[in-house]
Amino acid sequence: MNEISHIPKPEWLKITHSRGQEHHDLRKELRSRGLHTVCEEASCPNLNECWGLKTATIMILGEVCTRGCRFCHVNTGNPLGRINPLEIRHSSELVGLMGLRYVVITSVDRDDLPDHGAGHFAQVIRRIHEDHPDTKVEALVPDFGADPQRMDILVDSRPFVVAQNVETVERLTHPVRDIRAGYRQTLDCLAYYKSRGLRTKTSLMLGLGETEEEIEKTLRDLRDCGTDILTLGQYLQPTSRHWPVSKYYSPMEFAAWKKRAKELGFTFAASGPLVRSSYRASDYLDYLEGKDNE
Amino acid sequence: MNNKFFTKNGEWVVIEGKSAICGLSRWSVDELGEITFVALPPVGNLLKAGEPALTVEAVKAATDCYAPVSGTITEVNDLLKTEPSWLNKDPEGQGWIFKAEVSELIVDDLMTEKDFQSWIQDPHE
Repeated sequence: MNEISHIPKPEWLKITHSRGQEHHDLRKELRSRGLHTVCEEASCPNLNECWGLKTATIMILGEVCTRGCRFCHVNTGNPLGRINPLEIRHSSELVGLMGLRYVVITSVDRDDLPDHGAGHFAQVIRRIHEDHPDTKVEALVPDFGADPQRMDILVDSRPFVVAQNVETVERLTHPVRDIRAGYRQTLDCLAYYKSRGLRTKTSLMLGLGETEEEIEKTLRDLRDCGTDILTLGQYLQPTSRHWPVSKYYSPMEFAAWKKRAKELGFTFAASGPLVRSSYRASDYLDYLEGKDNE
Repeated sequence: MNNKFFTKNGEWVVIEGKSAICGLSRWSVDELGEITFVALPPVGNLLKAGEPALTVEAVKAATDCYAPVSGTITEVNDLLKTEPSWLNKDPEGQGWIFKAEVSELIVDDLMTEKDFQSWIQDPHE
């Protein structure tokens, strides 16, 4: 058999796999209550940094997604309409245990449910608001089929920020995203939430095969629908069966796109090789409290 | 096996006299995910305990693998050149990475398998 060929990973994607000690007790607490964060599930290299800043991302509505996007590692299947009602209480408990000042709630897509999970999502947000009034909640939501009735259920729970990820440029949306997702559909969702008075956020992955012109066009499209917050990060192929990486962008290129995003009018932008949609999400809070987004 | 030791970075080493065989622990490869490439060092390379010996790439990140002992590399696992997935399948068996002639061994810097397993569970101890 021939030796395999590969594009070497650049130095800035090197991580250390040594055991982080800082949050050991917390991990034990979470495990004992059967609670899970996306930070841990995805072995996110930013975990210690985010948890240190009292930010974390909790995934609700189960672990099986009804959609099969080619960039995403979450299992695809049919959850058969099942929801675990304990997620509502557990999510709030996790916020208390971790002492979070900013929490991102996200979920799998649930096309199997009549409301696509919007009601459960809203209940989790309300419970956190009730139990932890000082904690800000960001809702990183599925597109709910861009149905205004479903989106209104979420709107009524008044998250601090609502995020819907565009993921990639228009040309690559199909094949990269599931056929039920759509570039225009995501823009419609963001425009709708904005029209209902919520702060909006989206995330774009770089390295899927997009051109500079396509990135520019996407940023302009996002600003046209009033998107406030943008995150830009390097796409990393979760397994060899997923969509391949076409390019590793340098930290300098990410810095240049951040500058461009600010020029186009995004209130806040995070951009870097290891930036993920929820990476240091609480930085936006710092920004609102008067610290600059440099 | 009582001549098997682990580092706090998750490398393992089995020592027999002056010879050592080294690799990455099951815990390490599980943390890294699917391994896509192992940049094997050339035979004859000098190793210094605690210093990077080679780089392992997984789908989501790359990481340095540190030498558990000082010495000289005498053999590398050619199987990993064509099938790096052996590191995921059998990291402490057929997925070994290199063999070395040991020039210096500081056992105090290493952990027994039992201590390593407890340390993974609770690094405060």
